[in-house]
Amino acid sequence: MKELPPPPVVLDRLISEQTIAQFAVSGVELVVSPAGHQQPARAELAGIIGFTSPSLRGTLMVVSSFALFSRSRPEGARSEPLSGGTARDWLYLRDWASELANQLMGRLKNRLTGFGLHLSVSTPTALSGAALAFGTPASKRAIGHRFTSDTDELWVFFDAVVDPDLVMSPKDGDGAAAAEGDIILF
Amino acid sequence: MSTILIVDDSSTIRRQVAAALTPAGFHVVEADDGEDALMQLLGGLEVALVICDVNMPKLSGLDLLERLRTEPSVAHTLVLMLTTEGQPESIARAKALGAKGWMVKPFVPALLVGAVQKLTAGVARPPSPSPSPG
Repeated sequence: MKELPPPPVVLDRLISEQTIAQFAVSGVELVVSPAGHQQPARAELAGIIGFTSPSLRGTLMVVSSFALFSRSRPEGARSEPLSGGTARDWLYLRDWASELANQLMGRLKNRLTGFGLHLSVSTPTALSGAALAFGTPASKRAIGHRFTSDTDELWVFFDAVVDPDLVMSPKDGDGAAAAEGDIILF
Repeated sequence: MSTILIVDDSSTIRRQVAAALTPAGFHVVEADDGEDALMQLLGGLEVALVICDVNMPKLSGLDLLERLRTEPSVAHTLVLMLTTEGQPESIARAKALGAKGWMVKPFVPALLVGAVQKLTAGVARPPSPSPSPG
């Protein structure tokens, strides 16, 4: 019998794949980079969302620069250039940062359904500032995923408490979740 | 011109939906959560379709759907869910509550326009005033 990878390995892979896929929708190409330092460079905006289930609970945080969040706005909402010098544009990007965290969490949630994990999520929120710094993670299993684009750096922090008995194997009976972009008309 | 109500706590998504639907000839109005949407609809806002997020503060999209069905004046409002969620049980609940469709974010604007056109094609519009004789 093939041995299953431990849950954090599966989660690491899902976070990397889905972060890259999320940004690709807006035409931003990300590359996984070694997480060489603990505090992101140019941490100007953070989108944050909580999640819980009986065997996995914690917080997802997406951190990057004003410029990268601006470039990652969705089609139809990125035609207008934004300026870091105006309060209105920071407000706008805080909204997008929280929605982006929500959409990335949705991707993870939908894929974890296939492993029998049913997460409940909080409403998202966001922070901005000249140089955001982050505190000590709540769990020993906090994962800092670092990505780079051609001009900027992005971090995804997945700070999760994982049930030590959790085995992440694909479940047959759970039914596949609908995928991003799917339309189902009743 | 058909009016569409977009209900989402993200102004970015509301802007994206309006940017997709306005050039296609729809008039888009906004609500930033389920409670706001319910107040607007109960206040007499007439819409051809509501496009509604699920995960929102105050009143979630599925709870809004449930409330609409209990209010006779808005019970037959057409609703398309637009959300990051793809869980089969949530989709089944929306269908049971009378939603007409489910779309998972991020969405392709052209596909949203197509779905809205299809869902609103059979919606009766208020009759135009009769021309006065003579």
